[in-house]
Amino acid sequence: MILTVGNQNKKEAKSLKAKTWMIMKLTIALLLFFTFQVNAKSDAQKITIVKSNVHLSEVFKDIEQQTGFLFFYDKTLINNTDPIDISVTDATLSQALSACLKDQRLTYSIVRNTIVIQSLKTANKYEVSQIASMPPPVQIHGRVRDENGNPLSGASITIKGTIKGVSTDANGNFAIEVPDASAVLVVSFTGYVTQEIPVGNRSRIDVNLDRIDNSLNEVVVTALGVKKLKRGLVYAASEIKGSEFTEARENNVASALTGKIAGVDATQIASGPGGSSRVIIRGVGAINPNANNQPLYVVNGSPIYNGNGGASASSTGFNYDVGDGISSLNPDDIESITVLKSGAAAALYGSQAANGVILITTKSGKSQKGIGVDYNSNLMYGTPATFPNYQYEYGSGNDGVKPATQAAALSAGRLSYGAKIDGSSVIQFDGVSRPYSAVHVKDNIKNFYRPSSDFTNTIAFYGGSKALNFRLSMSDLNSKAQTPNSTFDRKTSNLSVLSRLGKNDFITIEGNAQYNYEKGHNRPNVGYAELNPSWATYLIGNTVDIRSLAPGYNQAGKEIEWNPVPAAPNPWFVVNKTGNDDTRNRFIGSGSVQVNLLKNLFLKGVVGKDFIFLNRSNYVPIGSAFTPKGYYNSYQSQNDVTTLRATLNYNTEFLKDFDLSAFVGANRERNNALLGQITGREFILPDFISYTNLSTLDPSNQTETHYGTNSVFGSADIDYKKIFYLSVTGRKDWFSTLNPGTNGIFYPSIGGSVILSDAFKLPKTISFLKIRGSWAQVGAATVDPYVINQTYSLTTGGFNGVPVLNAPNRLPNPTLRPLTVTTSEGGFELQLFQNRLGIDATYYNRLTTNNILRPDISNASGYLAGDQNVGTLRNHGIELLLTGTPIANPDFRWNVSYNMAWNRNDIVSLAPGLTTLTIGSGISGGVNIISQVGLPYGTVQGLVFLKDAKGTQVYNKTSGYEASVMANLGVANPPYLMGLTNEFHYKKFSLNILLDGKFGAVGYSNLWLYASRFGLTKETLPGRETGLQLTGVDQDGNAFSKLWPVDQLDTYYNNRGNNYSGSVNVFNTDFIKLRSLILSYNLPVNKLRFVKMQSASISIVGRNLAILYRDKKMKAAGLDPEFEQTVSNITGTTGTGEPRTRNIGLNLNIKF
Amino acid sequence: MKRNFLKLLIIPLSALLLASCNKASLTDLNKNPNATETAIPEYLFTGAILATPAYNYSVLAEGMQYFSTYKEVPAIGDKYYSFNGTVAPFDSFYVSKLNRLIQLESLVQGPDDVNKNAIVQILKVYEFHQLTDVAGDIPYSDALKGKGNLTPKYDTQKDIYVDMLSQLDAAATSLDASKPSFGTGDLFYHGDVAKWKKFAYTLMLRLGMRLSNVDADLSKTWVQKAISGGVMSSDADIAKISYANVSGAQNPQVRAMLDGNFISPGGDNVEGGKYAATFIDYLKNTQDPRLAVISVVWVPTSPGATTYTADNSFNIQKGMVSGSLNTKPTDFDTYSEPSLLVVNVAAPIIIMGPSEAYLLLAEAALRGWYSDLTAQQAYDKGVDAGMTQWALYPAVGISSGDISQNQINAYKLANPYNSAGTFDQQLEQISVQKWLSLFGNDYEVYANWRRTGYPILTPVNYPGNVTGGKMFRRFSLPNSENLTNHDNYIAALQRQGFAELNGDNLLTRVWWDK
Repeated sequence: MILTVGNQNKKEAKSLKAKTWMIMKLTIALLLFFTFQVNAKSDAQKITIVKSNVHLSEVFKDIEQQTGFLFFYDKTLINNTDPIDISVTDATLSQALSACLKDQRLTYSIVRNTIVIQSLKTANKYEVSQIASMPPPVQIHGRVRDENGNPLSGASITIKGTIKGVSTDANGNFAIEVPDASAVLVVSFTGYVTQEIPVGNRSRIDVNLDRIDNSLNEVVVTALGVKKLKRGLVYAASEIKGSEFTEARENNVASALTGKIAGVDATQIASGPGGSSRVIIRGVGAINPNANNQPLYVVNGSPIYNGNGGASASSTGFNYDVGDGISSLNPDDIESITVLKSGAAAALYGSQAANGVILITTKSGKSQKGIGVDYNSNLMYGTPATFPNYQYEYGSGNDGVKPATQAAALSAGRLSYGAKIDGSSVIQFDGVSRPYSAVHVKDNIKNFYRPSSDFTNTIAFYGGSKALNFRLSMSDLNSKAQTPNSTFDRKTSNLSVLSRLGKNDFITIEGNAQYNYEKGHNRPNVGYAELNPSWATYLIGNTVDIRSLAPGYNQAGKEIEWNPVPAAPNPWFVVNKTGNDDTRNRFIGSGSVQVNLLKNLFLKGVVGKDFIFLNRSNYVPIGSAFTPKGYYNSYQSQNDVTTLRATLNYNTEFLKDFDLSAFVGANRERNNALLGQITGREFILPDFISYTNLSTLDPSNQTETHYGTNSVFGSADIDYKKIFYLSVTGRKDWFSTLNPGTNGIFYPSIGGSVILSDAFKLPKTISFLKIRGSWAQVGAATVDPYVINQTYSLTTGGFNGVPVLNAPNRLPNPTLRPLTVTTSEGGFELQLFQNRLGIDATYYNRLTTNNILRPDISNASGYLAGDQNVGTLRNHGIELLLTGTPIANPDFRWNVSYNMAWNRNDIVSLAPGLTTLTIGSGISGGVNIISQVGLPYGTVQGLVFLKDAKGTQVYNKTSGYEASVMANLGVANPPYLMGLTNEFHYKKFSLNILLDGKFGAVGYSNLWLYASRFGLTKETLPGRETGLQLTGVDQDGNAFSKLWPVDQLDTYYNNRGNNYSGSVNVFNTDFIKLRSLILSYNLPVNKLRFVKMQSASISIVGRNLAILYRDKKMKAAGLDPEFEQTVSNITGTTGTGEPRTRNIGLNLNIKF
Repeated sequence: MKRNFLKLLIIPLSALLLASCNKASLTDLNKNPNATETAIPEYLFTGAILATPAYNYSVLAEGMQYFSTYKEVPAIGDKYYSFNGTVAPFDSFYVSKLNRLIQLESLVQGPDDVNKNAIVQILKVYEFHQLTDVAGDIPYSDALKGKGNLTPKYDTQKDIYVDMLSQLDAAATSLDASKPSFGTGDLFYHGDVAKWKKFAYTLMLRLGMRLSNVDADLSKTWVQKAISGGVMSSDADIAKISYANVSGAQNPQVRAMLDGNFISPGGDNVEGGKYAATFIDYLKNTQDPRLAVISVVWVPTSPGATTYTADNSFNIQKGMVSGSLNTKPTDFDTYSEPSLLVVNVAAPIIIMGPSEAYLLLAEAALRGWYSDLTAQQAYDKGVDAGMTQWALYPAVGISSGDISQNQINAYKLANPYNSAGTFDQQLEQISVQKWLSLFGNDYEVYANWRRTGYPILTPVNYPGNVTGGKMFRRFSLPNSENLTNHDNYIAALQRQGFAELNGDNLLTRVWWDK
């Protein structure tokens, strides 16, 4: 890490040589950055030093630089030596050492990588005394590691009572000669508890050092960036190191939270690289279907914009995911992520914190000599992980026969109701005859898609002095989606500066700036068929090869159709001819000034800004079957969030054993959004994609939105003897989106904790025991700007010049108030057997009252509901975290961490007279996702087959189809979450395995709906030879029977797939997945001497490697139980999209 | 130095604290920069009138066999293939169309606003009758009260009709040519109150006649009242919206047709749609001059070419059979489709016109409720008006709407009114003519078909259809009502003879459909 290596005799080395060396290093780093090559040079030392009249220390330094060996000696020994002349070329180490020590009264010995310089006299004396009176010296080897089993490099090992000592090498190894078995080794390292170890008869001594007062001093970042001792926290706080996001990485950091923290439901959205995330903490918190239930993201103390550009659950036209606010962050820049789940933890963030807060601290510079360089390269490949199980008995066609003409083949393009597959030659949609043989959907998927790749390279430079620290990073993410021609790039640069000025750090100035440039090209559509290349790939007739549809267009540029429904496109036409592009320029910055007025009183001002300019466009060219003349849309949106905050902090001790830490402050947040669009249709010239080339332009439209919140807040933390802790906060917010008089809300929080293990004498097995409890309220105004008052909008341009005024049809509500979220929680933290086993348990109850929502009202009232303060929602649940270290040998260490959460969500009440609220519906209807009083938020409701009391199927005698009834099928958001991390360290290897699981939810698959309709599923096999005989009862209870002849099976099954989704297309979505696996190897960097790396590690990583468990029906269908394609509240539904992938990759990390 | 820093810091911080407490600046943020708080009735009225044709019953255009398609998905009205698309459009009618009218209504209560208020009442009836005609019992007397009643009860169609007719009567009576109206904001008549009176009575005539089967006495009363009030009689009376090929002023129904099927002349159509054989055959069999106006066949410029020219010559026209195809016919290109005159985004939409009025008069005469004109005289005038109204359509390419009086006379000569026929034969002739004259007004033709049984449609029994091969007789009530207005919704279903929403219920009939 430190470029100037001489660790003794620290003359300021500002020589040209050092600079040259530094430049060399940077060059090397950059070379690595661009070539991804490690040059592992052999360790044969060739030392060349030609110098005259130099001091020994300088020669030693040269040798250190050229060999990687370190010198160890008592400074006084060489301080008074005379300058020497030395001239060695390509010498070995011993030759070089002999050359420089030849005229000195010094000798050397080499212990591993350390050259010990001793006075000849002392050395002789030892020898003499050994010979005279002592047994022969004992050679001791060993290794020093930290509490996690990671080697500690540079730890000091001395023999008690002597000056003799060595330090450990980069791998923590040491070797030392001790006089006899009675010697005592003193092992020490900064920040760790020093140990004294009697040697005894051992020749190998491995030492594990514990961090000093680990539980006492661990600090976590809490609300408003205040660092608090973890032991005193009155709520559960989970902190994750940034390094957990960099190896088996997700492009979207938030998605990588899955399975890591109890009670945090992070969803993997299958919408291509650069897509959005959905994170729900402790259940959905607001009844309003349009409410943002995701947490507030705070980067370095300032909230960032996290509006998402995710795809919608049910949509036509272009429907792709352009990512959300958090997707801009580069995992390599993250120092740590703290998740504030509880109300008490988040209350200081005010309104937006009602759903919890995710605090992200980016890396900053450190006081050190020279410049540190950190380089990380990560390459991930993704291939489809699951394939639907279809039938391959009857092929593409209809009415039980093979298509006889091209028209018949085209007409039956999406149907697999043909004849028995027999390998004969049959005409297909394009008029070409091919064998009537099964084409497995797996092959079509593999033949259409390519493996995805995500290649991230990050280089960071950091350094600093006591007065100024900095870190600058630059990162490039280059993604190729599975979908051909679809790419995503993200370039990030991040600069962080910290300066302490004046006497006693009178002023501290901190600044962070991140600039992003993101570019998406042809992002894949998800959901419905339209413009979705996956649709045909998954649903084409089962004897048709997807490659026969390529390139998707004919010589005239017209789409080659494969089925009679133009909305179901040729996938090659979609990827080759239609398109979308988006670029996002983003600046996230914050600056703060802290003035330390007194030792215990400071004033701090913070300014934060997040500015995003997103430019997106999409088009369908002339020649599309569905929109033959094409269309073009472009949108320019600008969003910014500005935060100003001032706090006055005070801390003191009083009455001897009490500590007080308190602050008051004010906050001002302003949000601005500007959206402009140019849309139109019907291109004039072919192959020229521009709005200037449209024959019809829609009226221009520009939407401007402003809103803000003013707040004052205060907080006080008191502890007694660091055993009893009390924390209170209060905050008042005023919202611009509500009217004066009802726009303010004050909410308090109070919490306490007791360290029982310090307060009482507990059995020795208990290392630490704490109980904690808190109660908190948070107010929020989840209401769009401008909607509470009645306004009229003019139609742009009027109607051919006649002014047109549009009346709002949403009921206004000028007296709308903020909603309130009240959380109470309690828990304990227990550490047993010297912290080898830990239990952290929490129970919480979170009540959202006065919800702001638009209850569906009868359309016949003439209005759509406006926002109202109605409805109560309750979440309560349990979170459990178990941590353990089953094995803690010096060479082998095994850590386990298991988290589990259960959340029960109940709609306690909706609006008066309203028992059900629709959140949304699945694609093509399918199911409704509803909120119903007495049921959890997001209940999946769909039509199921109607059975009579005896369980006999009821039929509609007019239509001959099964009668159906609406039923509640389960909950869309999984109530049970779990994650299991196993971490193994063996010498230089480490293995990290994360399993995660979600249970208790159901979901609707629109893919399965279509597969069922089109005769692809095995459920559609009955009746293929002789027709399908149905028997049951009709609605009057009389016997019913009907024979569906073979030529009508397509209609029967089509209707069956379409109209009984609750029975046919809804699945239990339980799963356990092998979410990530990281196998790392710490390279022995000391052997790569020429680059002087501080450390280097290479990892083989995998994500989403296997589905270890899924429901039987899901498994039989061959579907991936993670259904989410959108980030909206309409969870539990999926359509078709890019296949979910299994990702395998490599991660290389080098620190200089 | 310390002091300077303090100043630097404390001044902005104090300013920030002050700003945080400044309520006015916060509240000012909530003023929508792109909307006004001022409501101007004239401008609101233009918005309301533009909303009148906004709902497109394309499913009925197939059902009434103007159009057919060989495809399945868009074929609900063609093949009765699924229930999708037959839900009564409560949202469009209550929340979009009627909402504008009730908001406007509250602004036109002054003594000088009698005309404005009356016009609003007339348009309300116009919207309500469309909805009850497809949905049967609907919320009416309790409806449109906003917060005042969030669960409006359903009125019977009978009560609704009785009230609508008296509302029309009251509104028509109150119209006063000496008082102001909506002026240029009135896209139908530019503020001509006398024409609104005719509109009101013509609508009354339509509604009165609707009751002919269910309550002949009531029907007769209102038909006669309407006639004596004065109904539309010339092209100048036509209520229409004129569109233009200008952003924001395009014909929305044409837009939908273009985006659905007819955007590129010739070749495959997006949803496989063509004119139906029932329609084209009838026009051909009767040598109807409208055929050349509305219909073309796109002929390849040379054999196998992908460029086409429009041909509106009589003999080449051919309709595609309704409801039977499930494969693209090999001769798909050779079928007729709407001329560019019809699918012109600048084409007008006729809301109501004299052709319908005369054909209603013919029926009234046939029923013996009217005698100023004989049934034949009224029928002939209905035919005339149904032909001449095409002149309102801008000519495009080879298609022109100018049908000469000679052509009309020749048509009448070849297809004379059958005065000697039975009542049913005459009713059929009148109704079929309505089918021809009201081309584009699918909803009204559907109502008339249900009431009279004419035109006789080609039976469709597509394999696996959901109605047993019968055309729907009604639309279903939206499921949203089940959730938000449950008790009233269930009561309305039960009152009309069905407990739960189900397919065969689409074959049950509304009150007047006897």
